[in-house]
Amino acid sequence: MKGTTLTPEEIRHIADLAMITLTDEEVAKYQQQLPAILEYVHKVNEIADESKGFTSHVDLSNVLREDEPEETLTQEEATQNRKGTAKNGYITVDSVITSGGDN
Amino acid sequence: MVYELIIGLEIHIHAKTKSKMFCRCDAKYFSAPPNSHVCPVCLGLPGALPVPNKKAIEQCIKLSLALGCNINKFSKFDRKNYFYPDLPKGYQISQYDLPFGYEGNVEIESTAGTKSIRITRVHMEEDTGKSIHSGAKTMLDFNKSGVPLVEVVTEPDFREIKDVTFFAKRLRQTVKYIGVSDADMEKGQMRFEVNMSLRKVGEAALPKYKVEVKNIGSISVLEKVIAYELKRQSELLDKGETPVQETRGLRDLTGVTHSQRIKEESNDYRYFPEPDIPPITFTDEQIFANRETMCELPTDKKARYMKNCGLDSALAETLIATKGRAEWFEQAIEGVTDNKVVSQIAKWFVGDVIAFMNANKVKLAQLKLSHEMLRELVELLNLGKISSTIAKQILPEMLETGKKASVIVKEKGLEVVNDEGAINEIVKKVIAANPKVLEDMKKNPAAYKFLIGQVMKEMQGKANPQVVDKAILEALQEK
Amino acid sequence: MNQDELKKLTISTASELLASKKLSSVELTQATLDVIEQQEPVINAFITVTKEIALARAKQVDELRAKNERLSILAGIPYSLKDVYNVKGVQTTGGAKILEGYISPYDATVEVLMKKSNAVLLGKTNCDSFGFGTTGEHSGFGPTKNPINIEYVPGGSSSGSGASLVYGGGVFSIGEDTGGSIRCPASFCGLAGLKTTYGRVSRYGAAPYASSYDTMGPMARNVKDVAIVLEHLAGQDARDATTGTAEVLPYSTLLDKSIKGMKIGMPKEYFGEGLDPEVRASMEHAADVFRSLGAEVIEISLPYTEYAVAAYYVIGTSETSSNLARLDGIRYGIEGEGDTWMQKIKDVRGKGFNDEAKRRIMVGTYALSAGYADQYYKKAQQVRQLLKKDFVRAFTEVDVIMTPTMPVLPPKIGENESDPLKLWLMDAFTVSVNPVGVPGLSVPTGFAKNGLPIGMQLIAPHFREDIILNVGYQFEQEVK
Repeated sequence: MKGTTLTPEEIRHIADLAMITLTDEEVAKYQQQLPAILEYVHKVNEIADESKGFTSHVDLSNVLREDEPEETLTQEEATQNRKGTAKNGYITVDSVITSGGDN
Repeated sequence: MVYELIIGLEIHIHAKTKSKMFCRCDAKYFSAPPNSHVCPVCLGLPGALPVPNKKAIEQCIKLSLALGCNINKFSKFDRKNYFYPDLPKGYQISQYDLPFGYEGNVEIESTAGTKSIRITRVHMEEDTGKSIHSGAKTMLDFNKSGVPLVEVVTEPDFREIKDVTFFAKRLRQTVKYIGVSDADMEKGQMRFEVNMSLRKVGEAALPKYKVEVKNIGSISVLEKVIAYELKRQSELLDKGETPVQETRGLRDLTGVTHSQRIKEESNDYRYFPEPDIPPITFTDEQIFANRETMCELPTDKKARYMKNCGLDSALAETLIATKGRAEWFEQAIEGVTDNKVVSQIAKWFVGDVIAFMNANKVKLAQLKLSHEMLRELVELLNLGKISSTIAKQILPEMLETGKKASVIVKEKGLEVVNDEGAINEIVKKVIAANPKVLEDMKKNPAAYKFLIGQVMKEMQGKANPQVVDKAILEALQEK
Repeated sequence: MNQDELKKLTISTASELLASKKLSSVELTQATLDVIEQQEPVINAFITVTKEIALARAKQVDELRAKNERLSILAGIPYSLKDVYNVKGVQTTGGAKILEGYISPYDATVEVLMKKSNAVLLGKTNCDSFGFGTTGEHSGFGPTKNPINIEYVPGGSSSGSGASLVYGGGVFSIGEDTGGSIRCPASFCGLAGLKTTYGRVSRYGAAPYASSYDTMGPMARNVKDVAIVLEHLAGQDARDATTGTAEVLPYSTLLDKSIKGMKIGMPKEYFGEGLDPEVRASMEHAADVFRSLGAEVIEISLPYTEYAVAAYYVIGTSETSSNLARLDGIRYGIEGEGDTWMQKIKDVRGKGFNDEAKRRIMVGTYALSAGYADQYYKKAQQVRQLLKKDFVRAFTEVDVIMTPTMPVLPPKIGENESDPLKLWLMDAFTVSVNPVGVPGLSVPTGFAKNGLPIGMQLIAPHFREDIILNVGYQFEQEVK
């Protein structure tokens, strides 16, 4: 794929999908670095074998678990990393109602 | 202008399991304290890994088969990537291109007989956590995160609202029958999404837009949503506008839908096969075994009651309301070859027994009335030993005490009186006491029926109604 | 025990000293902690030193030994864990700022196994964030230096594991290898390091880089120690659905076999132009050693090698972009700032991920995105199957494949900052192994003129760690 270029908007779009804030400097940096990388890895297209569909990376299948519950974390342990903002056992975030998202 | 409805449904059903889909947390999370049924896996801690619940997959296969689906003998899980606070891993483990069940078919009762609804797919996924809104904050509880869900997707084959509600109800009933889910709507164990668009009547092509409404928690709200959208979309189309292709949500239970300000781009889910879970395969033997051991489905049961027992649709429908009820009925009619008797047993069961159960909050398992007792009651009636009035009278006592009909009849001397002489006496008395009836009969000959009731009252319901009827008519003729 | 002794201490020697009670575990542990304290200001091999835990566990072992309890060979031996492994009650960062302060509520399976063997946990070692790096310069907690010569890198991403062993800060360490992260620091630090077969050791509790590549493995001063630790780590885990059912062999008892008649293949693609001449010379010398031991050394070909780096990075970055999505600052780790929940997530990921992490996440996101997934992710997976075929075919011709671990000598700190792709290409010899899943052992072969170590990589078929441990041990004994 010769001559790959990415516009700042495309860089920002990828960063958006990955939920990462980039500074203007970073956008410029990645705009410069990413095309060479993508062009290099695009060489997988030279020898890809379309004949087979999905192949798992392990020779395993049907690794399943019996439906038996077990003791897990306590509420204390589950919220221990947000002791400052947890309320009555809930983890809190800013309201999701005002802005959208997939649900 | 009148438009044609084009509707497809997506239904999410909580599979009934003891533990969660990919971890061993207790799946009975409803009303547990927040974040008390979580572990590194369903809390999305770094390094935690999913291991699929065998039972949950079996539930999905059962439902797939019940919906007439083919089973993908080679299947896998895939990651659906998106960010949301109640999605702790930043991806949901679901199924993308190889769902467990695909290309199924369900027959529903519709205006012109039956209608075929195609099932696109039935797949397995995990639920997200719960968000509770509180002012400027949203509170997150991950107890629900990781609970197994079976998702059923239909083709846009629905054309009438009542077909949608029929399907939804029958589906709910079916999952309860086969034990896949308790489908408790109040606990959010069954949720609907509807895809809906309209087209001019007579047009063949599918409309160019589609409106999706998510998170519908009950069938009554589902009905209201469709009605609302029908109006909203019709109005736009009448104006020459095309409704926006979008996802809409609800803010209450009125059925009113609202546009959700979602960025279109955020819907690039970047599906790829879940590398932490090896593929799942099924053999023909396993699929066959699942089919063979499945209980009779409500649709088939109803058809059988109607065909083999001659019961009408409404009665059959009431009998199959729950599997327990249907099984009770089937045991009650065991050995009964006369369909007339079957019908009687059905009516007594539905009319009086169930009414008693509802009024007194008694469950089938607690019923003091046995199958034999109901059969005996109907037998006594058919043998002319008791009248239907008496039968109706003693049934509550049978239900409350567990005493057989024959025992109560003997104890209280309630056998039918056939003695014409005794009956004629009372008939004379009743006619004399009700002169107005003779007058009414001039306009309406059937008015004499009132006298039957009066005679029965006088005789404590024990008189044979046919004899009473004949006696009254004869007495009146003499007049 | 002084530092010189600690720098040379092996499991066998330590175990014997402890068993004969010539040394207590507390004494050994304290001496090690003293060395760590003294070295850390310069080397920066540890992110967290678990002093109290170490001394408590050492004390417990001494008590058990006093009661003459039967103990594992690892009992009382000080070790470290790369900071990707969750340890209950201890900070686990994955080498990234975004997880600073995250106190884990659970133990990784690897740690559960170590606890069971009564080994003594010294602390969590520094590493390139989430495994993204070949030099040890890309940690959120400062670079790690190579104690052999502090101007040079120790190799990465298990940089702290390697460096700490060099200066005597532990007898063995458990690293993690996704594309060379154990083998590279083993080579640059003159240690033995094993990338296990994918699925040989449980990944449960190890903060992931790439789910279908990540392996957990030991780094130690010699091959025998590596074999001993492997025995204690290998096996199926109900918490990791990708762990295989292959039999766990008594690896440390299978080292003495003669390698006479064994076929060792050197793939020509790994000995081309870009190879450093001193590395090449060291490999040729190693080949001579093998011949002197009676093995046959032949040239083979792995024709798809030139596509390995590309395929590795497409799949690796794709999987990691998804694996790291759970780091949103909501439940643990550092918190984000902003007016909305979305802004907070973007902020915490912007400031909590380093440059290399952001770059890989973005490449991976792109490679999976609509319109590009077919030409990147899907194609790379197909190439992966071809790479696998290369190895399967090669193993019908030879028993072991031998390559240099790294194509270059350890670079100086700061040497490769401006060229990210060049850094990626430095992994060329190690990255082909992970997508295929076969095991790879790095064994020291000698030193460069500047005193820095050189290592060779021995590769065996799936679940045949016993073969490369045997060959590596025989080589090691011969050149001692």
